[in-house]
Amino acid sequence: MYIDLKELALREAAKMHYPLFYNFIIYNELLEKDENYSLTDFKKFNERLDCDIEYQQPSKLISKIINFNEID
Amino acid sequence: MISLEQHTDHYFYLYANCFVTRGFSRSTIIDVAHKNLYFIDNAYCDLISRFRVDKIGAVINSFEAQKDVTYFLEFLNFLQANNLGTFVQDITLFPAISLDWDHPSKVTNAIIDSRNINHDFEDILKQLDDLGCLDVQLRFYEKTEISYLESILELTAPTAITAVQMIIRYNALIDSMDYHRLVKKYPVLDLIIVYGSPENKFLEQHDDVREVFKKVLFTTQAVDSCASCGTINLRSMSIPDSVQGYAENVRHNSCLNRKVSVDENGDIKNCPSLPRSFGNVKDTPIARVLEDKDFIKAWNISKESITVCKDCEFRNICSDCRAYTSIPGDILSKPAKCTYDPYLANFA
Ligand code: SF4
Ligand code: SF4
Repeated sequence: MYIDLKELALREAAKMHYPLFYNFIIYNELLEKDENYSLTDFKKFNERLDCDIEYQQPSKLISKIINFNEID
Repeated sequence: MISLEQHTDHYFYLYANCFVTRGFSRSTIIDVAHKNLYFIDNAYCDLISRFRVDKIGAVINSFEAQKDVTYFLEFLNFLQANNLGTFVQDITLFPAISLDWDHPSKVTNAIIDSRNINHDFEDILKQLDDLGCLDVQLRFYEKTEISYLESILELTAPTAITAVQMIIRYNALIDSMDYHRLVKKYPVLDLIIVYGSPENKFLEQHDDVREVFKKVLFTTQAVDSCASCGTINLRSMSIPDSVQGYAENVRHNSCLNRKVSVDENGDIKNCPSLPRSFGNVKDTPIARVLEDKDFIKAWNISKESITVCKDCEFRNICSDCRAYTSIPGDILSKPAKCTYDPYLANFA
């Protein structure tokens, strides 16, 4: 599976008024699903929120009950 | 090498993802976009604070010795080479980023401790889900069966919880691959740590597409209760991967902010190791505890208010501990289990 990135067409005149990085706005073209791999493995639909939930690693340490210094 | 003549009329802009923390002995630059940390001398920290006001030429003119100009040039080279900033004509086009922090979830993370009692996990997880909780750590102080762990993981299916971590006691009757199978079966299961194991080892599943690491970690470390928590060393530091994460560390308590815990007796606390219970989960809704100002108070103890830590260059990436403090009963004293001395810049 690959993701095809395309530059969003912006009028030259409009570009003048955007900060530099807006000149490189890109969007993802929606592609056919790869038969061998599915990103849905990491997602589930949540009824209550009416949207997909993506599984993620916690953004910070939840507790420090394990001393990682002692492991290696 | 940068040519100074070319840039005397420019400002040096430290990118918005780079933050400087001045400590007593030295300072750090934390690059949250690349998760890098750099140590710099405090003199350079003072220089960086001038970047928003003075052009390069004005900074150079303030040096008395030629060798300072050379050092300054080297420093600018270091910043640019490490992609920490660049030269700009008008610094006002790059206003400093706000470190105000908020989150749509009333609770973002939770600890549930368990020892020989069956919490009503269905009810607790549902309550946490209603509060928008994303990350849950379950710590078991007794031996647990795979089927029991699985029954808890099933309960997360209707929730919006995005990560569950399990810390469990070694059970010789369970094959290590059974844990691995559990991690594969439940994508919500981010990490299993098996303590009291005969050896230290990692089982790792690496996914090339998402670079997700699902880990099962065995450690010989003995854990008997929540009293084992609170260890602070270089391995417990974590550089946030976003400006939001960094802002949360700066403005709030890096361990307790938006955290709720249920201890092994079912008592609702900021953290299982803290003495104060705000009610038992059997008869007190967690949402009601969040209305208690005393409960929320711990969320806002930032490092700037903690003795010693306020002088430490690691303070904005240190995960802190408010339960075990160097002066027992003084919630604003340095964590007891931290061996770092910011005045000497070394770990004991
Ligand atoms: S002194 Fe405080 S901020 Fe520094 S490493 Fe120790 S606990 Fe963290
Ligand atoms: S406050 Fe200390 S004991 Fe409590 S969870 Fe945080 S690190 Fe652990």
